[in-house]
Amino acid sequence: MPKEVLLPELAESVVEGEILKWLVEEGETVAKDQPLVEVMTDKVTVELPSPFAGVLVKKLVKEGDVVPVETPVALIEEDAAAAAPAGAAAESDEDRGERLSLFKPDKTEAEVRNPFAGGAPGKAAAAVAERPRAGTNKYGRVLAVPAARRLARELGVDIAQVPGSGPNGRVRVEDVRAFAEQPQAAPAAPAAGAAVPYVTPAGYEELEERVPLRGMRRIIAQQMVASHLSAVRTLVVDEAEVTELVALRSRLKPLAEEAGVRLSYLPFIFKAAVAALKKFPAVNSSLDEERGEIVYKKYYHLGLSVATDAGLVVPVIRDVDRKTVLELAAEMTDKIERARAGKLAPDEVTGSTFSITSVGNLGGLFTFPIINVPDAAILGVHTIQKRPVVRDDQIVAREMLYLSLSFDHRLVDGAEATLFLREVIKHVEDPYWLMLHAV
Amino acid sequence: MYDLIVIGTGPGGYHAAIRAAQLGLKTAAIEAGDVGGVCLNVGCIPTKALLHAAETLEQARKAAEFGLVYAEPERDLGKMGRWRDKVVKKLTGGVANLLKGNGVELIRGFARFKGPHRLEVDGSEFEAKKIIIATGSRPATIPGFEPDGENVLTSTEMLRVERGVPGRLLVIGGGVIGLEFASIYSRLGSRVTVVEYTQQILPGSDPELVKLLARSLKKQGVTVKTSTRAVGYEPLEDGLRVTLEPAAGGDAETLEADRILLAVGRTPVSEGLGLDAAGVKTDERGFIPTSESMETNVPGVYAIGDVTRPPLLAHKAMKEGLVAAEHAAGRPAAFDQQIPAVVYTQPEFASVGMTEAEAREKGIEVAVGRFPMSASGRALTLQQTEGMVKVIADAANDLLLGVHILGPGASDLIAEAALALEMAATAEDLALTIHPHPTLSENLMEAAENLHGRAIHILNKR
Repeated sequence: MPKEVLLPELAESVVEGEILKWLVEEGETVAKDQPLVEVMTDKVTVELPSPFAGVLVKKLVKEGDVVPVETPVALIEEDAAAAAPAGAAAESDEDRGERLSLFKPDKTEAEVRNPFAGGAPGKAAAAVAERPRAGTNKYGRVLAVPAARRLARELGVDIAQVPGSGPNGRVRVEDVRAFAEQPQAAPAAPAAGAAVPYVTPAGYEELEERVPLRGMRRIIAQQMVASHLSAVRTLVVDEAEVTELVALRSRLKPLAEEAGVRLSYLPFIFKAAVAALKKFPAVNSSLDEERGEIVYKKYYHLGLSVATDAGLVVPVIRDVDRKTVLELAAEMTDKIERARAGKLAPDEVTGSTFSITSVGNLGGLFTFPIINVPDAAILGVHTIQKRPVVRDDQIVAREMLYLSLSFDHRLVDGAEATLFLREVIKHVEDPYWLMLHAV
Repeated sequence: MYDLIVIGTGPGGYHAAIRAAQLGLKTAAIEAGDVGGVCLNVGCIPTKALLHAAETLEQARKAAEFGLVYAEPERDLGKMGRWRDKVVKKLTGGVANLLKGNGVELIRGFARFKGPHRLEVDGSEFEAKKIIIATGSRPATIPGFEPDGENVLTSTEMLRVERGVPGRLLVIGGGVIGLEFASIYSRLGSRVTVVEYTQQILPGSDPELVKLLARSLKKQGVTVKTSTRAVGYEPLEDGLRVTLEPAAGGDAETLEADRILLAVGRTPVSEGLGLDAAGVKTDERGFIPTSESMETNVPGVYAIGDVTRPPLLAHKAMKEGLVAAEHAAGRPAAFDQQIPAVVYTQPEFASVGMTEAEAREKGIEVAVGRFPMSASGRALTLQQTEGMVKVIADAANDLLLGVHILGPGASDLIAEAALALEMAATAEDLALTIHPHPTLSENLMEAAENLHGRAIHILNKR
């Protein structure tokens, strides 16, 4: 009987994917691990390899469909099964498919959903009780008191979904009851706010082109709305004189080139930002609204906004505090190139704690960037150009840089944001400070 | 037509039958052997009866230390056997009465499936809406040591102390059963050698405590040979010559014994039940896989206890029996508890939750607290100062992950640890709870304190 191919968990915390393009047609033969379908998630495109060798009997989802992970996407008649005697009746509804994971191979074995792939009389598998989701924590088990487990089963609540109010997030009986009583809001769909109706003005139909909201643009739209709705976005702008930085960078540039690395200003600004983040932890925090807790992160994963032909992508440079300027420069170049080629892996565009966007090459004085939620802030870096400034009562030309900090006022106060930005500027203006802290 | 038939009346089976009856199901239980199954008749209960007898003997000897000098106790093995039977009979009779009192019909005979809802027992057919398979397990064997009732015995046969205490006993298998019998017979006077194929006795258990246990066994005169394979034996004029080989290969050695106990584990009893007729599947080892509600691949057919999956423990079977019965009665029920394990050696060994190694495998940074029995006032007064309590927690948030106890009373103390784990308690919770003094339970609290470097009765290494 044909086996189902399930959409795997594409990366940590990714719950759905958009079917972009089928690479194999119905009736065609596929080899094991041959790319079957292109799936996009979090702005990254992944080719889903076929878990079986055989014939693609049926596509269960269409291009453009957005499907949750673990949804069956295709039916494949395995080679061996095709050759087997017809005794095993086709009971495809009993075969719950093979669960695979591209990024967590260790998870596949523990959570095969139905150990009895077919073979039982009648609608056997459908009646076999579902294994409750193994906990999503590192213990493989939801932390809950026994009575809460039982109550959750009785109320038909998946205990893994219940926010626990006890120590370490332990789920108590009251938590299960509260969860069961709350109106079941549609969980995902941040973009689901009341849609603004659009009406084409009469007579202009011919002058409009309608393009389906798909792929990258759809995801960008969703994320922007999520950011707009969830953060209380506030702006502070300041300027830095970067004469020293310009000199230092032009001196180091040939040295970096010898090492085969293109050195921009960004690695220095990343370093300055991390120094400031360490001093102002609120800027490197997130709000866990479910638990009513502020999460202060003592690691520094900085997102870098990159404009690509397909749209905005934010690759994440991890552990910036533990990398040298040269290492950062090399990694940025690599990730920017791969972002433009659409070759980033899903976990390379998730997990930032703060972001930096370099805007201004194209013009504009400064911007009010959108926060990459759930980060608390994003730093806009603009064009370095000579501008007249007053020094010792004289107007002189200096290399100047505007920096804009867009921050979530729920987590960061205005004064704090201003001081944070001053701290960044202090290190950008005197880049030799880096020497003292070079990793 | 019954609502539910349970095949087997071992601990899992009788729990299932009684709970089903309590929930109003018309229930029958089928038993091919004795009511109570392995646990009550030839497992948990009779071994503990003999262990108690053997320990009393030991205590009588140790009493000299505090000035009570007994004459060397006289052993009446016949009477010991009768006492063991009396205990068993009392309990099995009790279970039979409980079944009856709850309205469970007892059918005697061997059950065979005729279909997913139909069973045949000695020519008569019975129909039930739901069926629970609780057929348990039987001793496993290895080639070269087929049990013959004479030279090579299974645990069941070894229970019959009235057959006499062998001068030299070889136990093949250093698991729970092997070690419990080693404890009984070494106290009763046998020179015992335990041969274990893997690198440690009680494979999978905390190696630190297992090492202490091995040392203690050695003191008691039990020789333990790990990483050793028993190859075969030949009868001599006086006894048996057993050939042993290093597990990794190498030079063989021989050892003389008067009797061999085969304790190499147990295999599920899933053959001969006609499972095919019901469409119930087994895995390659003969276990019947189930959902968390204990339902097999065939809806309405459940399996519980030893026949489903390791660990083969009565209390696991009991809980599974309750889950299956409740689910069969239409209630949402699932098995999702931590399973404590106990080994009745002297000192006792008990554990629940993860070992240090298991926690590390999950990528958890662990914190460990220890407290030795030798520092426990109560253990001293009991003359049982061997062993240690070991508490494992997540270093990041203090969440208790596992508790391992070697020492007196471990079998009872572990229940507190199991409750703590079920309540997702932290080591601090354990440390902050007042434990009465002087008791063995204090050691659990002290081990938790030690995890934070704050135990009172030992110097804490930090």
